Amino acid sequence: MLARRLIVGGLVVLCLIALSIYGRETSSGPLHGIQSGAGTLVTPIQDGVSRAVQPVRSAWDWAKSLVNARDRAAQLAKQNQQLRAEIVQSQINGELNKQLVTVPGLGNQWNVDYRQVPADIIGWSTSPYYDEARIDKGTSSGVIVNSPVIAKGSAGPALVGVITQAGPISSTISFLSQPQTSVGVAITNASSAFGIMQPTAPGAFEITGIPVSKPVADGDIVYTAGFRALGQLSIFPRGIPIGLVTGVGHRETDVQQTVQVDPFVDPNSLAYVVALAPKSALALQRATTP
Amino acid sequence: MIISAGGTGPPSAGSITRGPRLWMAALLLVVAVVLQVSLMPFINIAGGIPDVVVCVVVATGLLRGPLVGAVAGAAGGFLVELTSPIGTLGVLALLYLVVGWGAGRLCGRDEVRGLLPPVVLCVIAEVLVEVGAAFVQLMLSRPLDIGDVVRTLLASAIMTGLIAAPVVAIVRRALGAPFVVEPFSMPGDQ
Repeated sequence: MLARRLIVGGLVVLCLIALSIYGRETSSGPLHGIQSGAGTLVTPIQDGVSRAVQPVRSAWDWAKSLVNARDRAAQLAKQNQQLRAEIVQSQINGELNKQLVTVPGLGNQWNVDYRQVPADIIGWSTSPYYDEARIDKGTSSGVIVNSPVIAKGSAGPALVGVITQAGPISSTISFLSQPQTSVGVAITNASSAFGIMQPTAPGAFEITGIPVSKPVADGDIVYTAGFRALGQLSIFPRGIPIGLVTGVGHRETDVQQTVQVDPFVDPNSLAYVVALAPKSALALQRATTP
Repeated sequence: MIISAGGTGPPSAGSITRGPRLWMAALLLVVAVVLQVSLMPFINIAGGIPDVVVCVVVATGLLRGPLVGAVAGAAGGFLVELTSPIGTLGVLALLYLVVGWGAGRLCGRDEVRGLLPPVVLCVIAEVLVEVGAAFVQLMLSRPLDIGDVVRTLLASAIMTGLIAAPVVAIVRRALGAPFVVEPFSMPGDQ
């Protein structure tokens, strides 16, 4: 009886030690390395299963889309009207953005600084509390830790996450909805106001740090700013769309406003993504940003 | 370490001839983990995923006692966390360990001899794992929507209940009659 309790107690202690060390170490730590290696081992199995279940998934998605078709049509009609208005505004903003591109260090050329690596999602987290997935591309394809990941959203390509673990043939994406994720963002129509975007609830984000004086409105587009704070590069290059502003609020005494964001991409609906493999020196510098 | 059959009651003749078959328990656990990290995430309904590992851990605990149940739980949890894109290590191992230990305490009891009690235990175990995982998320300061948590919990519990019966039946067939495995004891020791 005593030996049994000692063994089980030892296992409990081992779990707690693993939990503590894993939580404290960086993504390059030894336990993360073991996890990445183990993930690589099961990648072929996950890849095979992913391909095998793809027809079933497609059929299921099709059946679900039929049920949601009417609601979706009404939603798209409303969105279409909104987007028409935004086209006019974006043409004006386009001129302003051209000037911003020329500001040294911002690196707006994300489609030039990075090589686009299409990847299938082959493994999902087994728990709904972890917004992570595994893709079938790794360091052999140029994908490294901190490579941004984009996907096709309701308004073209949009940011969905970042690579947090990279093995030779597979990598792990941490989606933007993962806790402790923060992205330096800018908002169109608000003089490119800068703020920090963080997840608040599943599928919802909030931007803080935008002065009340900046005119933010529903429907404004949120995109990556290219930096986290003054003089600090972000791992995300400038100019990748993220979502639309859905709410703005502040109290009378506040000097900053809080902005709610609806992302363009729902990670749960994805079957494939595009990882951005750094190509230029600036892109590599971003990826190695601590 | 020597682990052999000891336990609370006299093992059946069949179980003595077949031994504890711990290798079979380990094999079943590995197969369950592979299924859990590769196939199960695609069976995602209302945010819930059927948990085949919890079924195997509960069934193993019920057939081989708290020690094997706890070891199977910890091993299964670590394997899932190592091979699935999960942002923690040790959380699931701890939760499955508790589940395996708890199920093992019921090993050999008459109340769990039918198929329904183990299935109910699997559902309860899944609820415990989900509640534990949600609690850890709260500890990590992750914003949680209580509606989503309840929905996920219910969906996972129902789907786990649906797969529990065949999984328990397979584990029973593979491991044979229940008897408690104790460390440092020989078969027949009382």
